[in-house]
Amino acid sequence: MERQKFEDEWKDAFSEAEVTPSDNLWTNIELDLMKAEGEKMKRRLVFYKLMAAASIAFAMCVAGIGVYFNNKNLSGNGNQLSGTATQTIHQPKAIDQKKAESLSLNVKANTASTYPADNSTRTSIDKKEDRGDELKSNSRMLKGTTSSKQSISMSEGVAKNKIGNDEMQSSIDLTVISKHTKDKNYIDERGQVVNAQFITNDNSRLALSKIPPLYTPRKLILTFPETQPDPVLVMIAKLEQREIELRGDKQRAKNKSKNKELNEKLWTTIGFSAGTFTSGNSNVYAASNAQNTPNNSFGRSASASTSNKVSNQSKSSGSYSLGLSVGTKLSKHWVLQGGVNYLAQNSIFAVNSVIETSDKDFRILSKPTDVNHTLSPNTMLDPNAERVVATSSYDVSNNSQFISLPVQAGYMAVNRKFGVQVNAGISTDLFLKNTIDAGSRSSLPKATQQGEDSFYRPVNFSGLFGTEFSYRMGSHYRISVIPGLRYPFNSIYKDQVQVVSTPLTLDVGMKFRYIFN
Amino acid sequence: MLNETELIEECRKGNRTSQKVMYNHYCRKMMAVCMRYSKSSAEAEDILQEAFIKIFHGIKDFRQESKLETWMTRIMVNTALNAQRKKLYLYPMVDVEEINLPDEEMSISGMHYTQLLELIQSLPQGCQMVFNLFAIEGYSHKEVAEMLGITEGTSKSQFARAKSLLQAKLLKESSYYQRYGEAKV
Repeated sequence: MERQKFEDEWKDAFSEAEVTPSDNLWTNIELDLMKAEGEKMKRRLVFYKLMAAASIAFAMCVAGIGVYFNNKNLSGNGNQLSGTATQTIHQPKAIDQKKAESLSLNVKANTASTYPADNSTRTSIDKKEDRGDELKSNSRMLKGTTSSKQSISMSEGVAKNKIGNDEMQSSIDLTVISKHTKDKNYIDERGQVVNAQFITNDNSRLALSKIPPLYTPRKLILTFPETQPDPVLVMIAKLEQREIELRGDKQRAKNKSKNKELNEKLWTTIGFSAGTFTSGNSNVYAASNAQNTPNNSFGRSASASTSNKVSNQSKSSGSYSLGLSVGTKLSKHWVLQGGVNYLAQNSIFAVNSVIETSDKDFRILSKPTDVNHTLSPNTMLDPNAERVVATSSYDVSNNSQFISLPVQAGYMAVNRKFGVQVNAGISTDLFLKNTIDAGSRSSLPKATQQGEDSFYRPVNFSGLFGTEFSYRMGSHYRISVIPGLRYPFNSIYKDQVQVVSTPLTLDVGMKFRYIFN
Repeated sequence: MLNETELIEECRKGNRTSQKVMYNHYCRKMMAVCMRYSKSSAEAEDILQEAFIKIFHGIKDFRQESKLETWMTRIMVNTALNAQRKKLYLYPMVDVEEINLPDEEMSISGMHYTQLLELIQSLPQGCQMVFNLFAIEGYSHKEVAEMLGITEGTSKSQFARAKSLLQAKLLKESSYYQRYGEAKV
């Protein structure tokens, strides 16, 4: 056996052997661990950086190859330019949108000759860092249009456009010479023949030297589609507009309907009415007949014989009025009207007495004093005194004329094309004259009384009440039918007549209204 | 208190606290291992420090097929050997002449391992390595030869030499103790 007891003893002796290390050993171990972790992270970062760099380099290579092949294709197709050519190239994504909108450049190259084969275009495009769009024109023919495209056409003159872009590191410097010099050739610093239509300035000469021979500058025309409005927003705007219109229509309809009610603010009316009136409880002639009957048998018999024929009521009566009025609307339903009317009241009644004058003539009772005549013994004894003489009954026409000044308030219950209005008011009646005519007795002269000599009250007040049914014709006219009544507050006779008469007049009127507004 | 599996799992996550717990639990035993392969405490601590870093980095690959202590000891030994290979290169091990070993093999019972450590550290470098690997670690001469890059014969001769040296020293100390009556520690 290889192993002997000696080896086993030594192995057993060290099986439980322990030696305590120094205290800072763990610190050293910890530091080493942290260092190792940091190095690991560093290595990881370095790896990622290398990956990023490799990706960028790969992308640039691919882009460069793509540009190279693209330019190669363009140079093959663009060596001959005839007429007016416009090239549109979309700007790379790196350029800010706002800046790009102002960078639209549309170059119209009016060339009649071809480019030299070795140098197809003489326009160098240098892009310099410049914020905003700086357009400088040395020619009067430089035209610039401010539209979404912002195309700039250069037909004549020398123009120099500098387009700035922070993202792109190269500079664009386009110089175009007047086409009048297009036939002249130009030899640049490199000894190459250049079409004089495109000359380069100092800056671009330097840029030319930087540009490799195969590089073909590209004319950049930045075009952007016109912004289309959001269809949803358009729809919402249309709906809002429609809502406004509907609201407006409603309001107009409301106003219209309101206007229907309120548009009659001031009007004038011409009208007439006809009716009848009742003489109340008595008339002057009946009273006179009763009072002037002789207090004797003859008189009593005469009176008795004619009393049956005496009527307190007129046989017939008629009332006519014609007038003008003005009205205004106080509120939605209330109106105020006032005017002037000519009022004529005519009645026929039977009379059975006459007045015997001192001249032994006869006349109709027409004076206030006539009513108080009595057949007193003294009157009978005075041969010159006028006295009432009983006669057979005869008809007398009594015609009274007044000027009426009505003031009425009206309530418009219905105010549409068809209107209903209730009017009530007070009328001031001014007595004009009274004519009494005994037609059948032509020998009896007409008796006219007016003023103080009449037994009618010169001023009287009457109450008016009526309902107006109207129909509107057009925007300014309204025709009305007005049944109404009139009732004087006081007797139409003077107090001294001692006869009370308050005739109730019922009439129907027609009015023609002209509406101002 | 974490068990060994949980401790290993936490150390795999890089939990510093768990790593410290593992260090505190095993550092003394591992230090004893490193002491056997080195000449001084400082050298042993260097080996111990490097080995523990390897342990914490390599614990993710530990499949728990053996005990953690065994695995750690193996790492300690390998780290010690790597540290000593330079010296072994400078001082290559060659076959030594057969030494006449004393007939009586001295027993080391009653001797403390610190004393034994001193005896091992007094051995020549090559003998120390071979002795540790064969006698204490339990490798065969063939395995030792492969690990150190020597022949099996060299390993045997180096071990024999180490053994004779140790026995001679043990004999000397034993006679010293007998002469002066110093108690064996």
